[in-house]
Amino acid sequence: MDRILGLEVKMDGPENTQSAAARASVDSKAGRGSSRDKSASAALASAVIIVGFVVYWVSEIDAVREMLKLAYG
Amino acid sequence: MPTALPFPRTVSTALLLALGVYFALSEIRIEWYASLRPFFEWMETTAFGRLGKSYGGAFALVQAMHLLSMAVLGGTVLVSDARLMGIVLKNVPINQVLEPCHRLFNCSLSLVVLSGVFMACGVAIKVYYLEVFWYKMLALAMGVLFAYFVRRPLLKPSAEAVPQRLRTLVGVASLMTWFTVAATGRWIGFSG
Repeated sequence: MDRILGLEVKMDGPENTQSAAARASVDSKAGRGSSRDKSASAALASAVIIVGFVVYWVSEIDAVREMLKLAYG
Repeated sequence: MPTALPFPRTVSTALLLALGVYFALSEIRIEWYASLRPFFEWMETTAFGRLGKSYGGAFALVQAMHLLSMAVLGGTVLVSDARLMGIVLKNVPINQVLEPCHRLFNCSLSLVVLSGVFMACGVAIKVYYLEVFWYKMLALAMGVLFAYFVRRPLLKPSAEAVPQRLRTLVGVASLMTWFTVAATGRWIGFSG
């Protein structure tokens, strides 16, 4: 029982409090890193999609204008 | 001990995009396109293909379902992206708008894909030769990948924590993708 209590006391000791704080800090850094990763990938994918579709629609509209010119002068 | 790759999601997104561009510009695309012809011929011989070709009423019914589900899908995209950009429902928390929209998006997307496969079976050879069909498939694939692997993971924990500029960028990209899916779909209807 004492051992168990000792263990409990140990678990609440300063070293464990420090390691818990360190773990929390690592977790928080990992969470921030993951969140930054998600933001960066979203920004990259969104930018590529927007540029890609703008190029696509501009070329399609140009092609239609060319055809209309050929048809009606 | 191997060190973890920094920004794994961003790196894999960049690799996937680079792979897509390489595929679009290389000879592989042409070879792949040619190899798909037997598959499209087979699609017309399936029960769906025969039903779609022989019974105009069945095709029209499924097309109506396709258009209605597309309208629901467009509605969910419009509402959630407009909220993301801060245009509508400003006094409602973003995730409170996104969650029901996402559930409805899942249902309507399933219906759109199922009815779309049926319709494609009926006119498989026609759509195979239509350039705009392939643009639609590309936009659809991009829209699905973007919705489930970029937009959802970014916004699910807390959309309020994401900077407004990024939310706007994501909203515009999502709107453009689904607008292209809908517009190219109509284009297929007017072609041939």
